[in-house]
Amino acid sequence: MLLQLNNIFKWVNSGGQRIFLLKDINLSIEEGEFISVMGPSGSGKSTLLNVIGMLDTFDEGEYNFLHESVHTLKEKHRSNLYKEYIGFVFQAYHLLDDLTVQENLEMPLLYKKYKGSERKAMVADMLDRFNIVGKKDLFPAQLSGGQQQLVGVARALISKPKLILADEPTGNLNSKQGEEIMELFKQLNNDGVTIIQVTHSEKNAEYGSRIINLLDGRMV
Amino acid sequence: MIKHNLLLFLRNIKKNRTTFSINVIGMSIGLASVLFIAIWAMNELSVDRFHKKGDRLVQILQNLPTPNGIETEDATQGPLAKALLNEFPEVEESTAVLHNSWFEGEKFLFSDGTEQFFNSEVQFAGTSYFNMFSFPLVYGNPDSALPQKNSVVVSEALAKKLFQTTNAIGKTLVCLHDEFGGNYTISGVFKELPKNSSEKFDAVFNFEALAAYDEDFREWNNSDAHTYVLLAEGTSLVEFNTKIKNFLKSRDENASETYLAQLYSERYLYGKYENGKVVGGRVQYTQLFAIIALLILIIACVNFVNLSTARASTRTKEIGVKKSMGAERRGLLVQFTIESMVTSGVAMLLALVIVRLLLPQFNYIAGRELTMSFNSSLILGIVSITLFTGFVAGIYPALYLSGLSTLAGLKGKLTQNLSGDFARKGLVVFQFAVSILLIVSVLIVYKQMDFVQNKNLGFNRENVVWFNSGVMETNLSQNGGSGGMSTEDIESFVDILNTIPGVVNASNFRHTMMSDFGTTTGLSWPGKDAQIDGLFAQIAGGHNFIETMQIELKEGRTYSKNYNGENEKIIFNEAAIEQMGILDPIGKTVNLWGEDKQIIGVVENFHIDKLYSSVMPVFMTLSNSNFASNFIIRIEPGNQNGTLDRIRRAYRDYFVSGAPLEFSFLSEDYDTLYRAETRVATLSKFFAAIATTISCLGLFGLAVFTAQRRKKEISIRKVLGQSATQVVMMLSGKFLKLVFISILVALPIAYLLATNWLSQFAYRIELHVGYFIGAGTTAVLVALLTVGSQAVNAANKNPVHALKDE
Repeated sequence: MLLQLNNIFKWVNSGGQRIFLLKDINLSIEEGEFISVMGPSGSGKSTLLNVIGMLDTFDEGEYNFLHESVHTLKEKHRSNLYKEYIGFVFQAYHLLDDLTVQENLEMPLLYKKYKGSERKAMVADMLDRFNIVGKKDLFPAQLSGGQQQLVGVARALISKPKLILADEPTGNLNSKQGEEIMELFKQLNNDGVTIIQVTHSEKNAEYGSRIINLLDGRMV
Repeated sequence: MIKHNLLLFLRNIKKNRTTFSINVIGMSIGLASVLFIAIWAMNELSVDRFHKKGDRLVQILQNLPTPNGIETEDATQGPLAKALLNEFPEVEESTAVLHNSWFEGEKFLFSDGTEQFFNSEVQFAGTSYFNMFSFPLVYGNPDSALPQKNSVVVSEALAKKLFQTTNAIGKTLVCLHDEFGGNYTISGVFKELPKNSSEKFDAVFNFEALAAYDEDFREWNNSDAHTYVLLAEGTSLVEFNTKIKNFLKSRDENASETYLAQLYSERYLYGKYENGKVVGGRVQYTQLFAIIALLILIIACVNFVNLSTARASTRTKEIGVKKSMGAERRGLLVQFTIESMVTSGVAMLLALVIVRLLLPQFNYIAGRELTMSFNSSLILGIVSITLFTGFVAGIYPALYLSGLSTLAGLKGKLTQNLSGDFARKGLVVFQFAVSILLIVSVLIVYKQMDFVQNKNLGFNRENVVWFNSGVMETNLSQNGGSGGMSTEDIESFVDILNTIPGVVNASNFRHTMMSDFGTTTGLSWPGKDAQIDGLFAQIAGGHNFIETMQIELKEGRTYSKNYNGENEKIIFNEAAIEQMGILDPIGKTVNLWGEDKQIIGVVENFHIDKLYSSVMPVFMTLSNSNFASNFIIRIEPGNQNGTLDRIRRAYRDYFVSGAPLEFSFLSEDYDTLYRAETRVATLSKFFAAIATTISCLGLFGLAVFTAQRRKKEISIRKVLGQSATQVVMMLSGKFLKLVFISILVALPIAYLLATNWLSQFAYRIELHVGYFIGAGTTAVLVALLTVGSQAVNAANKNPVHALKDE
């Protein structure tokens, strides 16, 4: 088992009232799954993804990731954990505008112990695999949205994560570009990478092996 | 990683050129100020510190109880040095020294026996002098530098001038001087004095010669010489002080003076005394400027802090993405701190260029010959200042930025940080408060100096030249020459001067009226309280001196050749009459140094001391002897050069040609008196301008940024019907409010500082509300100009463009 959420609650206090963002979430995910999280706006999809990605905290419940109890870990250990095993893909790509494609790809490796030559090889490998060698010296602003997201996925993959978290990865793309990204995900999943994606689109959700529906912070 | 961060940093700079330039320019100006002050302060701190035995070299000072409290003087009794050596085992060596200034401008003219004379600064010192002070001898033995009464040790430069060689040992030096003229044998040649020596002299005579000539230097009831002792290693100065405090009582039972021992090397910086204790001195200027330099640097750092935190939104994505990739806070903290250190490094390089280029101008203003020599301590200082500045400027933004949460970063949202906003406003207030404070200070210092320069002193210092007497032919024939000018010589020369066309009046005198006078308590008058001594200053001059100076006569008459026995007459100023409490003074008799003198006149008050003190009580005596052999001439305004040429010719005809005329204008001497204050005024003017400029740079940066950030808001407001003028008012108003708060903060402090500074002057300007309003208005105007352009720019943009941006 890759990860397990037990009775996860998350809330904010607003005007003396407790508003639940996540309510009693129980979920276990095996390695190799491809999960689509669906639900209307404000249902807690992104929050759930952020909790799983350890970017956000929760108020109650237990979270185990590869036999580590995330809820008991300190910030630093948590960050070591997700840096090791999780890659993120964002709706708005979040490439650093001031870095070239090549440099953007290299960045996650800087926070791990790789030698310069190793990093170079891994970046070259990734450029090759995604067919973007010709674009390695371009800045994000010089690429189309689809190409940017391609780089975003490549960046998420470069440190060989077990799990990829994608928050509406196709949200900013046209349908053709979106399809390409989903095909890519499918292929990655076939290669053994676990993927959790948040999506609005029924069509994209179909790529997954399991669909989780959320409404007002609850799984339905 | 470093490469990556550097790339990000550089590309960030490229994108935000304005911010980076403001940071670097502001910081480099701040750093240049710090460097200038540091070079200057290092020089100040090195003065008189080069003496190898400096940690044991002690000067003995005297505390005198006077009606105005205890006064501390450096003049001590002639025999003191020897007595201390004989009676205190901890005293290893001692010397009495009489400095050139004691001779009140009397010239010592030296020649090698020919008629070519050189004017020189001399001093008299004991035989141990060159052993105690580190003025190394090129020729001669410091242990026996002044073996005979007629020995003299001269500087390399003087030896070269006189004998065309530095090895002048054994040669004969001819000295022309009223009391100490004669032939001397050169027993040593000392190296050029270091620039950072407060002592300046060309020749050192044997103190024994002085003591042999003048009994005043052998007695315990006269204080003229300076006394220095070298203490044995490990001697406690505090204990030594208590031991010698009342030593004078053992020599003179009635003496009320006590001794104070102070390290010689500290006297340059700590030369101000109150109530018999050291209370500071020149070091206060050093501290003042160090504080100002530090404030300017902080103002520059504030710019960095404000602009970095205000622009945090441009970096949030980077922070969010990096953190989601596993970057830790510490790593980001280091990254941002290093960025600010690199910025300060660039600024330091620019600052070094600025210093290099402007050092001559700085030297001119500061009156120094400072150089920038890259020794290890300066380089270490530069590096640490750079790192320190980078750290101070960078640590808060770094903490702030690295502390942003990953999610907030990814969403590009800055949590509305009220404390951050408050801190930013506080820092702007601080910047402007300091600037306003400096502007007020400059205004007031300038007004006071202007007041000083235009103050009616009670005599007219304009169009007055004066000079020392030259060498008479008769002096030369008297082998070694002494005697100076006789009364007949003086009177005939004054007569010659008076006939020169363009000369209004001429006289002879001794005291220049420029803080150069002797004081005495040796005056008694009918009805004097025996317990209390009155302190009087003496001004000696010839006939016509009062007329030449244009001192106003109040009652009675001045000295005149129509009367006999004028030497037994005396003239006072009003302050003196008031101090004595004599009613109807004309015709009354007072006793001066045991001689009766009849009062023939009272003149109106005039200032002979600096304007820090009230008018001195002064008595004026008639002197036509060599004692008063300086000449003072009032010339007609206009065509002064012609008149001066004629005076030069008269001088050349009257005296031997070997010693040419060197004259001074009295008004220039007066300006020299306040040179230190003038320098402070000029320097603070620059610093005030710098502080204000840097503050405005920061404000400009914030205005640019605010206009950008509120782009959308402004567009919405305009779409809803707000006019451009209203937008400008809204944007500028926010900043002006801060400037107004700064004014409220700064003005009370400025008022206190100004009152305090002015209080040391007995004659000073009134503090005007106008100065404060002026400074405040300046700050508001400058701030308005700075932010106004940005506000207008923002207000006039087409709202559609901004709204489309989302």
